[in-house]
Amino acid sequence: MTDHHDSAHDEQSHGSTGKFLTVFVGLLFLTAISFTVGNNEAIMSTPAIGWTIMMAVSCAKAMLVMLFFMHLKWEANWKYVLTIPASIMSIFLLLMLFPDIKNRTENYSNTRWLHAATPATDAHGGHSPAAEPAAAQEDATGH
Amino acid sequence: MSGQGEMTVWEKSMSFVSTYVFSRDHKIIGLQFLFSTLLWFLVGGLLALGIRWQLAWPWSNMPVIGPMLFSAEGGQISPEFYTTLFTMHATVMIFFVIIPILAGAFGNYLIPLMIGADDMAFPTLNMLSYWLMWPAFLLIGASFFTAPYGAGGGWTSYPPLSAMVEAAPGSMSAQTLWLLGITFVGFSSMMGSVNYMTTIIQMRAPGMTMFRLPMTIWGMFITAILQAFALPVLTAAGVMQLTDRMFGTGFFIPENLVVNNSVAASGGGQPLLWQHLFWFYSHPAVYIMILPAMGMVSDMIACFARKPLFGYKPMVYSISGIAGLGFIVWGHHMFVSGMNPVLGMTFMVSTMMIALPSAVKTFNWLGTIWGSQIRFTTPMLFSLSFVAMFIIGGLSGIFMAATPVDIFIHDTYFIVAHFHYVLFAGTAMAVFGAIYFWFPKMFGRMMNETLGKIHFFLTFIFLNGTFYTMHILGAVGFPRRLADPYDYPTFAHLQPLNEFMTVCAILMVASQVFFAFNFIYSIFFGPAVGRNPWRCNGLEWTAPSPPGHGNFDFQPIVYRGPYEYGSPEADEDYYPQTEAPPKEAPVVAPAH
Amino acid sequence: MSEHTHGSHDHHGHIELEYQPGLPINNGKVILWLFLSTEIMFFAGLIGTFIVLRYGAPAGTWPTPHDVHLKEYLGAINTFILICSSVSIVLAFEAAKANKSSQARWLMIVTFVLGCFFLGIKMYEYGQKFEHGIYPKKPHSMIYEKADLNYASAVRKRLATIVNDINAADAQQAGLAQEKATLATETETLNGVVENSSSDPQEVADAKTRLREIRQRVSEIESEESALIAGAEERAKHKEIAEPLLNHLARWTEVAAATQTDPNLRVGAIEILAYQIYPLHRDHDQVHLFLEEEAAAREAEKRELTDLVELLKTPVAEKDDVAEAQRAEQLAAAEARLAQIAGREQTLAAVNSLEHGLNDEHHWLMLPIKIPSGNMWASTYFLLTGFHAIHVIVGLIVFACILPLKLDRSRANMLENTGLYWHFVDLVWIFLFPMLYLF
Ligand SMILES: [Cu+2]
Repeated sequence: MTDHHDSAHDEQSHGSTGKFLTVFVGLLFLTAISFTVGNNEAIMSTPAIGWTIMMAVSCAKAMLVMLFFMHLKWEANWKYVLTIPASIMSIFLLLMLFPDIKNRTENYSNTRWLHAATPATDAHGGHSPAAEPAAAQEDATGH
Repeated sequence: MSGQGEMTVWEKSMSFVSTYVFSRDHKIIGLQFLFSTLLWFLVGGLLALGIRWQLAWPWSNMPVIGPMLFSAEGGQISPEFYTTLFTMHATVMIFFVIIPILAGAFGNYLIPLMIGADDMAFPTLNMLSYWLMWPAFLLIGASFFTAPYGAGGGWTSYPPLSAMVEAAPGSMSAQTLWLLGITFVGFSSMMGSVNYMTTIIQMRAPGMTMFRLPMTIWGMFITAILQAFALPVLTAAGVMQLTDRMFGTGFFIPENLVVNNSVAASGGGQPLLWQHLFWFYSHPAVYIMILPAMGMVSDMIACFARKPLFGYKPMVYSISGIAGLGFIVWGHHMFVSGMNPVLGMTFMVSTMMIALPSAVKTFNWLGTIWGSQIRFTTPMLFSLSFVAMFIIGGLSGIFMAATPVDIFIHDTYFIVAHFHYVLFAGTAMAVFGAIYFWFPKMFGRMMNETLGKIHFFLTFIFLNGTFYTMHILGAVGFPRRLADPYDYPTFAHLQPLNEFMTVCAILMVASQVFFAFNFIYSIFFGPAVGRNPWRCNGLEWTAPSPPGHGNFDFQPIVYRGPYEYGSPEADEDYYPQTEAPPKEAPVVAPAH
Repeated sequence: MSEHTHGSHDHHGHIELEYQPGLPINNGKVILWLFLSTEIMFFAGLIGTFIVLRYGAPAGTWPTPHDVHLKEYLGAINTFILICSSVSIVLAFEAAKANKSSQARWLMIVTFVLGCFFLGIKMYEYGQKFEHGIYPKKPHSMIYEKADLNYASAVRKRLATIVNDINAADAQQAGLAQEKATLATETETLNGVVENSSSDPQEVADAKTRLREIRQRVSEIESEESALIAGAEERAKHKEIAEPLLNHLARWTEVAAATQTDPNLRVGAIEILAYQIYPLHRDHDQVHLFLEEEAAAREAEKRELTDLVELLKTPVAEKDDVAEAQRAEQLAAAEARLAQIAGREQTLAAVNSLEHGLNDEHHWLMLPIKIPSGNMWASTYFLLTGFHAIHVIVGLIVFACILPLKLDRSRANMLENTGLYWHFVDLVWIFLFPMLYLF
């Protein structure tokens, strides 16, 4: 374990300017990949592939920033204590929201528009069939 | 600063302000939290009596206060005001009483003392976390008095009712103020929690390893972790609901929703999303509301049973287990919401699993008491009642965790019974016990034991009269949050039961006079005590009562765990944590 | 040594305690990482919201960047800027560690300027959105989820408001001119009274007071009038554009939607309206089909009506007053309808010849626009980028606070913690950029 009394950086400097510039070039290169993929019609015609590539690239960029710019590569084991819980929790939160998206996409239909009521306050309400507001609320939330 | 010589009036008042008002001393901040939350406790209790009044004698004129509050309705509670009442009761009790009294008052006061630190790691941040509560106090207060009715979205603030100004005609800006208030509470708790974690991780006295921490500190530590991870999500959700109300975004408003004959502002959002984000915070929040209490109860029980805490490490692991599992069970609040049924099953199983670590804790408390010579002091009585009541509250929780049962008892008084058993009969009783227990440390004086016991027995009897009856109501489906459930003939015969509960509730609130008198009287006239009146092991009992600035007048060095009671070897029947082992070589050398 | 472990502390004479830190780093860094954990959860909530709303939206409706005037390259430039600033702040930290305080300060200034550039570009982007009406608003934003009667009536209301406002302004201008003329004649008579030496002194005094009042009023009128007169030309031009739109685009659509029996014509009318105002690329083919169908229907109706008009115009042998009146009425109706059709054709031709949609050609129109899932897009876009921008601003404030300091080795910890925060802001953007601009 390193000397814990001070910033632990005083003695040895880990990142040289050259190393940071290499990471910088790497980040630019990865950004370029994302940009190209996002604007490539062939790849984006099956969007899932494009999304996956772009998210993978973003994760790689995030790793570069954390490892080098945030010095995690050179830190002692405390880095796991302070970073992993939040990472797990955040990913878990996102994952748990997915089943409901699936539920909603599967049960989504345009008929809900038809059942939705039109406002009765409209000045020329003549040709807007005034549905029951209560029914519309039920329909909109009850899927 | 200008210590010597005569101070001018200005300097005197400034030093008063910096010592007692904008103090950075954790003890003063803790007491500030304590006094504020006790005042809010009174407010929350009175709000509850308003609810009880309406349920026992619906639409009858309230004596004395009725004409003052609702002169327009001739002294009656209006349905809208009833909604405001239960919204405010829950909000005040959860966000202004239980969470801040545990983390804010006891967390602040006890953490540095029990780990052997002179203060929190960041005293200024600590001060800010108290003063950020004041905007929240003012905002929620303003929300209550906003004409014509206060916030009425329930403490859960479910959209679309809460997300749309048009939906609840009574609570135009009130709900907005409410949300802003909750956001401030969030900032305050967040600042507190990162500070507590840093303090506990970094500022333990030499020899105070993690597994020598008292359970109170473990409870506070895990609570801080829960707050740090769960609260930001609620803040995010709250901000989104605010923008829904103020700027016309539609995160939680479904498309083409018609409210009061006009199409909702914008749409395409999902009301269910709010429930997910809200409960992602608010289920862990129920552990935020009980884990520190469990920790404090463990300390008190071990002290007054004069026995080592049974299974210290399992207790630590089960607290951590409860916290970990607590994050993956939030969906049990949403069984009837229309969430994906697959999730319902998952959440049911994970919720059931929480019963395991909870049972471990319960049995460990029982194991601690087993065969001991209990000293029935007031704090011990409260702690024992905590254990008993937690068992009732915990078991009724298992009913709700089962999806099929929950479909029937959802939104009935069974739920209300459950969380009052956990939060009032559990946490609030533990907090009373903790106040009696640490009062000598806080003020250097003892509270009166006789009055304390009268307070305990009256509260215990009437709380069971009030809350146990709710189970019966819930079992027949008596719905919560309705101003007049007797409008349904099915429930008409339950009114006498409700009258009984209301009488009990009024008496329960009245019994707190014994506490209030005892508390205030003892601050000034209680018998003075030394450092360790209860003969306990914790580090806080080695500091002066009350501790001065910097807490310790010696360098505490810890040689043992906090629960070494009843030792046949010692002259006294306890080993304070600072007492060196009889052999020459210290177990753990101080860190230098 | 270890008194450094608990940051700044006022030395009030109590003893300095020693601690056994659990982690081998200073307290500032511990609390900063814990704070970043809470930030991660905060953004997880926001990003989770985006994912739920983005993928929970009806299939195929989520707007493409082009639909909402979002420029991918601006997002890419901002990514570049943030990466540069991350490099400069990490180099500033290295410089401070090496005790090169002036170099550290320069690098911090570079970071600060880059942060400002980022915000500048963000503001420009926001400006573009606001210009096109793509933002949430109470009680209803300009964005409508689909082309239905609500939408058509909202367009009609907006156009009617424009025309009414213009008419009201014109009427006001005319009224003011009228009043001025009346006052001028009154002035003349009063002048006569004043100049007439035989007048009653009381009467002269009254006249003088009245004249003063009139002068006052005239100057008021003139100041009011000047703005109206200056705007008159523009108003006329606007009216010339808005009135046909009101009659032949909005009203026609509402009538068609309410009266046509063919569902394609009914739906088509509103879709056409939406497309003319704010063309979405994906609607292009569909709307052109609708246009063709409507043109065919119009031709058929026109033929029918012309025949009818001819038939009605042919003189009839026996004279019957009632029948004659009926025929005249029918004739008038048919001719009116023909005129409407002609107007519709003219307006459609005019609008179709425009290069962009109506809202882009005439910004002052500010008509409701149809962007499916547009509300949700705007809500999530402003939520995510807004909170990211707030974090950038907080970072800039921190930079501004530490810039005046001497950034030598003793301040390296402070710079490191600032840098960690700034890298986190960069991290968030690394995920936001593809999600908001490229997905
Ligand atoms: Cu729960």
